[in-house]
Amino acid sequence: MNSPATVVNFEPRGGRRELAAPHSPPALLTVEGLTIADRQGRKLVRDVGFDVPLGGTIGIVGESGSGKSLTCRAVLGLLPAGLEVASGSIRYRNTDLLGLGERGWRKLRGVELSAVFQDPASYLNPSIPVGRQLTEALRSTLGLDKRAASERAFHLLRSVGLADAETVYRQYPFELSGGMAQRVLIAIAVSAGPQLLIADEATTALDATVQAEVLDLLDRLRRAQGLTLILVSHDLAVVSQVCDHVIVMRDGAIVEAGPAARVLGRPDHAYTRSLIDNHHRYGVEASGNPEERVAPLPGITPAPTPAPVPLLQIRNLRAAYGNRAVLDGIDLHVERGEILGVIGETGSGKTTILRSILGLVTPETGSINLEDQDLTLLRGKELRAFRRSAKVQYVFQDPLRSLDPDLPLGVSIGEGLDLTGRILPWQRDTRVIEALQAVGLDPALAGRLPRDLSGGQRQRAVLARALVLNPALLLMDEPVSALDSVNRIHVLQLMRQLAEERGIAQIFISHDLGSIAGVADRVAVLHQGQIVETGKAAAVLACPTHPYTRRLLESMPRLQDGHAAAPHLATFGIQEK
Amino acid sequence: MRVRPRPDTGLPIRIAFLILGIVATLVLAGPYLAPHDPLAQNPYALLQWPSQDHWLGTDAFGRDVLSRLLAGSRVSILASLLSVAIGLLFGVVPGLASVFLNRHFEWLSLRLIDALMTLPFLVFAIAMTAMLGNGLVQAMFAVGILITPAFYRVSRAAALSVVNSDYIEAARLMGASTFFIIRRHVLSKVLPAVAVTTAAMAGACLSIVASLTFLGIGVVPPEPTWGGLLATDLTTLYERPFGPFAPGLLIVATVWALNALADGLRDRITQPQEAQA
Repeated sequence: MNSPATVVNFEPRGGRRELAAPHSPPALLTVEGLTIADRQGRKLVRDVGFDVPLGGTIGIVGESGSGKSLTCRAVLGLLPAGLEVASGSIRYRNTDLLGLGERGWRKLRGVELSAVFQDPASYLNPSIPVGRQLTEALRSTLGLDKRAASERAFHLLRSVGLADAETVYRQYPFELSGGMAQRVLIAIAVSAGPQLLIADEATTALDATVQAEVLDLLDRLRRAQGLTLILVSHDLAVVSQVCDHVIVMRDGAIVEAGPAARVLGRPDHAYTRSLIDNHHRYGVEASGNPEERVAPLPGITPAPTPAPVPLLQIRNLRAAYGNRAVLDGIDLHVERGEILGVIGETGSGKTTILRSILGLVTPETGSINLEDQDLTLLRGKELRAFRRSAKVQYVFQDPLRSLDPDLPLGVSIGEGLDLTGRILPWQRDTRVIEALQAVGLDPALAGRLPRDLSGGQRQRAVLARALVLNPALLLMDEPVSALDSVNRIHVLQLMRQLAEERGIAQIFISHDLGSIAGVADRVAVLHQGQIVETGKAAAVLACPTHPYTRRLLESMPRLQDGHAAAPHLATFGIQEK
Repeated sequence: MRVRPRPDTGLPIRIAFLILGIVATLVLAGPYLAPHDPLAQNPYALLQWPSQDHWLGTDAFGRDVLSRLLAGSRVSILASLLSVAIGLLFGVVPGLASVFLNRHFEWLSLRLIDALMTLPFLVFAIAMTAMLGNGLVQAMFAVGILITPAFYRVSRAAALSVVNSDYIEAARLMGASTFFIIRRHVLSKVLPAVAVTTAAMAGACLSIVASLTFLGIGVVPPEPTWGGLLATDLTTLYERPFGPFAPGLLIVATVWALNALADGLRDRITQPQEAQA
């Protein structure tokens, strides 16, 4: 701290300094000049400094790779192998965390400082019932005996909103939904009554309604237990809902920091402004006005609507796994060049629709017609011939897993061409390069392996693999859910462009209303295997008729920046808290 | 957080390659390097100690030991390579087929492999030579069959770890055949593991060849082999106490080199994955 005499509530390095009221609480955590570097001396986090006051809620936002998670990991003493704190200091109360040994950490981590991460399932041992894992954690941190620990475990499970604590206690992690698992992790994290809780993308992988519930839970725990909260997210809206201070990071440095209302309402920095603009453009609140729904892309004029000849017609589709019906009475159609958004939560059957079209699931009843061919009737050789015709292409949810890690990108992208028929190597290479350019990737990347690419580049590469075959219909399974907001927008713009310039029809399934609202022409809302509402995207999202759609819209995290969002909220008839 | 320093694998691998290089030379050129006819008996020079004419002395029939050792390399090494080749063929192909073919084949091949794993090497090899006739090819065929489980298991495990991956489903959705998928996506995951097993099994087979020929199975005298030399040297231990040293050293060094190579290969393969994590 430059001037220890003044109580500095918030002090980003190189940024503005805001003096808090004289009686503001003292800092619980002080990070000063934190620089994290790898072995080659590359600085991944540069000169980051901030104070976290006792009882405060700090949000850290930024794209992936902005250094937000690394900063938190440094605070927890959990930097990945090969990375080191090169300079700076991290103080918790009067303890210098950087000088702490393994023994010192054991007294602090999980007891005073706690954390919740993105993928809850991977932090639970799959072969041990939840209750036992919780009791063991309690016994080691609090030194309770077996009985007291299990009683406290029940109490904790109830306090994180798991009403049926007895059942959850006996269940194995794989029997829990993502939201339940995250609640259990939160229960473990707060079990020892920590002062500081770090939630690193803790709600990113969850459905909108579940995300809202978990955020609500964190907020409730914070108030009830006087927790100090650091919330890390790439989602501006999530942070704005819970936090009173916001730090915006980019390329390892803080670009802007301050009270949430000020940073989000009157951002100083152009980068923050662009984040907020992007959120408005592709977030759901911007779709209140149908004319403004899709920002016109530079250089693209909307194509005249062609005569409606349905490219794909699904009638009365029913599919079941065993006795459980996953889809029932689904009727959908997609026109050429149209983007159909299918919204639904995990387990609503979205993916099963796509898998039925692809012939990976055999429906019980119903037909799926592509042009004049019924896809549900294809078997064996006919199915393979249809697949080689490449009329329908599927884009997987996880681009990294859908690319062979041992093959250079060019080979993966050209694979479909190798399969469709005889093609000369140089012809294939030209088409691969064209496809790479079409998705905005440098053709030089064709020689690289998937692990050398960023998440956004991989998602484009997977798109290129589908596009190289000139499909009439693209099926996109959550194509942007793993991407940060900047890359998400690029991919969404690309999808729009493909529909308008090349007339490629797309079915885009997602649990994220914001991205669907920004790009789809029509939407269908799927709930428990049935379509509860369908229509023009703008109309459905502006005035939903079905109660489920309304609930989905309400649970969307919204940007709480005062004046900007308010009119849109009003359009939806949603009360601000 | 510190990464545990990896033991330097460079030196053992280099020594292993040197030894294997020497052994390969013996296999290719052994008979031509031999200073004497390995089969020529000399009743006037029985059980001699090393001399300028006979560097490793002579045996009970007056034959030059060095020449017999050099001439015996080819049979010993080729026999173990034959077993490994048989193990590879009958292990890797069914191992991949068990993942990609169908349920019935999977069940059947797994049971067959389990059964093979219960058979002891030497006893089975002796039984095979008793049944098919005493020859090295018959014996090594038996050994080859017995090492198939190692190849089967390794290739099956590697294929299982990728068969449900998204990129294989993506290839299927583009209309790829199973053969195409194996060639393009599966082999590259299976081969590294198979390479390690091959090196380790080559070492194991060499010691089995040595054991069999030591027992007199598979070779007909006076054909020289490493194991056979070891056996005859043992019978004349009183006259030539250093006798078993030379064939013993050759066997031990070659087996060690193959094992070191397998270890080194395994480290080389697992290293990049650790670096990623």
